[in-house]
Amino acid sequence: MKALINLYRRIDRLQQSRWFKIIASFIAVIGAVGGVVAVFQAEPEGAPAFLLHETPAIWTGVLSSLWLLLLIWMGLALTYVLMAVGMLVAAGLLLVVFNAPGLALAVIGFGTLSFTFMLLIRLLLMAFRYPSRILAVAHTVVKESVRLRLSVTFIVILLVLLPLIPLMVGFEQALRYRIQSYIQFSTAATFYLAAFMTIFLACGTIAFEIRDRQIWQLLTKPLSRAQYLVGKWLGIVAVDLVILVVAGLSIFMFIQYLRYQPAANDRDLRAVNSEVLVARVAAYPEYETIDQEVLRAEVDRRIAADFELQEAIKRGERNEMNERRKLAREFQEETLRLQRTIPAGQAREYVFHGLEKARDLKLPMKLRFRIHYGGDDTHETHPISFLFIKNNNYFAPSPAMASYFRNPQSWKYVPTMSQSIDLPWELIGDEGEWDGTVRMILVNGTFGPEGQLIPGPNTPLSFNFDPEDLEVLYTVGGFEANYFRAMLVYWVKLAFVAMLGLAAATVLSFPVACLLSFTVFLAATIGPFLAISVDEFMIRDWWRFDRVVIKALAQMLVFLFEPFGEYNPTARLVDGRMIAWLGVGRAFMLLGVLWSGLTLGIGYLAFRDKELATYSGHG
Amino acid sequence: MATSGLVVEAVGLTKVFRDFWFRTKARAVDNVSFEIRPQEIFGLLGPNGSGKSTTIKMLLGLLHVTRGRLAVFGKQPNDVSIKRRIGFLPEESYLYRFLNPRETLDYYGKLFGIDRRTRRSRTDQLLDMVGLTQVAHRAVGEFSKGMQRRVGIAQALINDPDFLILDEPTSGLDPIGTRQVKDLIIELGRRGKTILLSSHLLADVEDVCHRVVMLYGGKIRAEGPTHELLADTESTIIQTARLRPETISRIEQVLLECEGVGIDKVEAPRQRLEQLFLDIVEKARQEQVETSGAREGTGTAEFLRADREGEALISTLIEGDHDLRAARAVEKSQVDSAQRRQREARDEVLDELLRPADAQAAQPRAVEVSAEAEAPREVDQSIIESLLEQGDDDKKTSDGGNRP
Repeated sequence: MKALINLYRRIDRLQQSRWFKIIASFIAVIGAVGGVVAVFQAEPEGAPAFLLHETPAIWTGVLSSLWLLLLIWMGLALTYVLMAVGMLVAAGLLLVVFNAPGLALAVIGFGTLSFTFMLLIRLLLMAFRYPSRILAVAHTVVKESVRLRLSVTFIVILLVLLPLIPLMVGFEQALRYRIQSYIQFSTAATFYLAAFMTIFLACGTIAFEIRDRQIWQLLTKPLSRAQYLVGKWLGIVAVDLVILVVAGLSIFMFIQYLRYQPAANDRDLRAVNSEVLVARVAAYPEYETIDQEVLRAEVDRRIAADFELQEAIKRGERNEMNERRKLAREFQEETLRLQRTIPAGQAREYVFHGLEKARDLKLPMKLRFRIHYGGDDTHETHPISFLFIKNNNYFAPSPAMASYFRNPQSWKYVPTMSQSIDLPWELIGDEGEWDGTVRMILVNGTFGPEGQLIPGPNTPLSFNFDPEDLEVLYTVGGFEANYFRAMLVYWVKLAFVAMLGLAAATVLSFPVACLLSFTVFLAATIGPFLAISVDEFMIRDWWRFDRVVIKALAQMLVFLFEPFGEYNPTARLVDGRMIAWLGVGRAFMLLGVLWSGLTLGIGYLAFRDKELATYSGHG
Repeated sequence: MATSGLVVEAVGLTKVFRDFWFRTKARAVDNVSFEIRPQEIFGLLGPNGSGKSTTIKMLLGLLHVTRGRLAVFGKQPNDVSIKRRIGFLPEESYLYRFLNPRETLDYYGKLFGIDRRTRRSRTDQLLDMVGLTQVAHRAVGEFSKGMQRRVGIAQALINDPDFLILDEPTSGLDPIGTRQVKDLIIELGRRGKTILLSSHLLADVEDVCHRVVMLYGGKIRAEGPTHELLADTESTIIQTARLRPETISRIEQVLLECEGVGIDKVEAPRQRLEQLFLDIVEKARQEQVETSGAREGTGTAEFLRADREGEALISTLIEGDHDLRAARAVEKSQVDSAQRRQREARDEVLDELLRPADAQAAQPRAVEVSAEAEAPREVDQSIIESLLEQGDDDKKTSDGGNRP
């Protein structure tokens, strides 16, 4: 044993020496870049498919070079080589003895992720070495996060889970669904595990310090309570960053691997490249608004028709203004719903605005729709037709475009299933009021030989769609930048969760602080659904106090936290939708600055005058 | 708040603890007034629950004052700026279990804004001082209570504080650590530091404090300089070399003639158990017996010592280098020779104690020594007389020998 320790000490001395680092850096960069270039050019049999494409090959070369350089200059190169040998032996055993190549790869993945995590944590600790009180607190939080069982458990679960997720994605599916499933599971798992870890760490780091009185040691030093809170927050946010970088890189690399796997067919491949691994923006049809006079008249009419309501208003049981507002809102919603409803054998025109950019850049577009029909039976199909108009012209500008003009497009739709059709940029109007628009006539049925509208054979009812389920999409960016912005949004959300846990722990014990933080986190996550539920949750009997309290609480949660759930990068990534810098900036300002700042303020106010010692005498 | 030059000024200090319904739970400190002057070692004495720790927590801003006025360095206790000058050792060390001692000291050093080089140097010296250099890589959570206490002591000194607050500093420490802490307090006091020592171990306080306040039930029961409070004006102790019974008898006669009082008690002074223990450990250490725990520290860390380089330089400039060196040489030689004599006298006892049990059984002399030590309790008058006669002879010889 002693001999082994001595051997390791010698190895450690070697890897710390400057000459070793210079030589090893040279070899590492040449090896990583040369290896990738060699594979890219020679295209040997059995090489990973994604390395045969330029972009992922460059990414792989750059990332592996950076990783190796970090390793070498932090004096860990040979240590990691030894650990890698151990990992490879374990993977080899799984492969040879148990014939489990998937698990063997997962072991290698786990090892690589763990090495990267440890490496980045060391880097973070180095960055926090600067003698500042806030950074000193943050530095200790980082150490705490990797030495306390509570947080380490979540980190290990994540590092084990990430390499296993690819094994869970069904290989029999079309490639686009495999990629979408992988993005969905992996990013959601990363975010939720990181959020749970953040809540436990944030609540624990303060609640345990107060309980175990380490805080006496800290706040009797020249460290203000605000500095203490900010330092704790910074430390947790930094750990979250490391987790997101490690998990984010691994997910990104696996997506790169997946995208070059064989697709089911051309359509599948096109969908991957134009609907999933892209950043698209959407244009929605403009709906008619109701004139104020019409609205007022309709509200008057409804009140006049409801005798009970009139009596209740007279008796003072109902507030007239509130009732008028409610009726107006109901009427507006009905009108909008009506505009999204088309009876069988009828048609309605929709105009999509704001498509100048798509026309100017000649970007191909997609019309996406999701229709509700009757009982939404997904085993049925029904006819649907589209007719496009450019400016005021039904005629095609070129023979190639003829099918989109004059000749209506007839399709079949499956209720509740999202479908899309390709649209050329030439459809976009360029004259007068139709500049930058796509005009479309949507038909519930088909066109007859004389051009008349005919309902589908088994489609006697009207169909309708939700506000966001009829849209024109076009691609404005690549997946890589979009993915980076998604990770930033996740980070901002985690930063708020961290502050929430810290603020809760300033006044509450660990379990209660965790409970409160989880409640708020879950309520905030399901904020958009909660908002819909609150609207539907009617209170008819005002004496049902419990229902009133539940509704009031839910409304408060929706009011406070709905935007948290609205920032959902996973859903946007899966649908290949653009996460704009503006949205990231708004999330940063709202969640990172305003909410976190407010939560910090509340936590600080509660903590500022808190007595940190209790009575320890008799009686 | 006006500055009065006092380190701590407490006037009518009261702390009432209330329960959730704001009913009075306990009046832990009740109308207490005291002050701590600069460069003073101040003792806060009292049994458990007397209000010592509550007073300290109010001094540090961990508890709010219910009534009265409390100023530390002329400012409110929760003023962050005064914390730079304070070192605090709580009643238990309350350390991060996941950090090792070096990381712990580095962390607290950073909170004081100490630069990296100084931090590193002080950390090394303090770990050396508390004897934890060998275990500096182990997590504090693995340490015994005494070892954690040592880390606690080291952290309280990392900023070289002007005002050191020690709450039960020797709690959980072995006699070596206890002795070191006392030496440290004396050393720091010599350097002009102000120290507040809270303890219910009276011997600790008696050995080091200049002034004490005694609390009971949250109120001050006694206050004043230690030597005044402890002075027994009704009796006199004269310590001298061992006397023969005759000499003692003659002394008693003299006392009867001059003062009209006899001798109440005659006994041979006993070595303190603390000293005996320290000597045994010292002996074991010299024999290089292995220990996995804390080792004996190397004495006060250099940056805390009064004879630091800077101060030595100032002394040199004032007194002249030659005088300083000569004075130090004389002092050192005196100390060395006294220590040598003491050590020779103890070695015999230590050898017996360190010898295996069977070897000790074969040597009844150790028991005899013990019996001899007990003898003066029942002094035979004839022995005293015989000793007094011999004493006369000795005295003559001695006087003759010393005369020029």
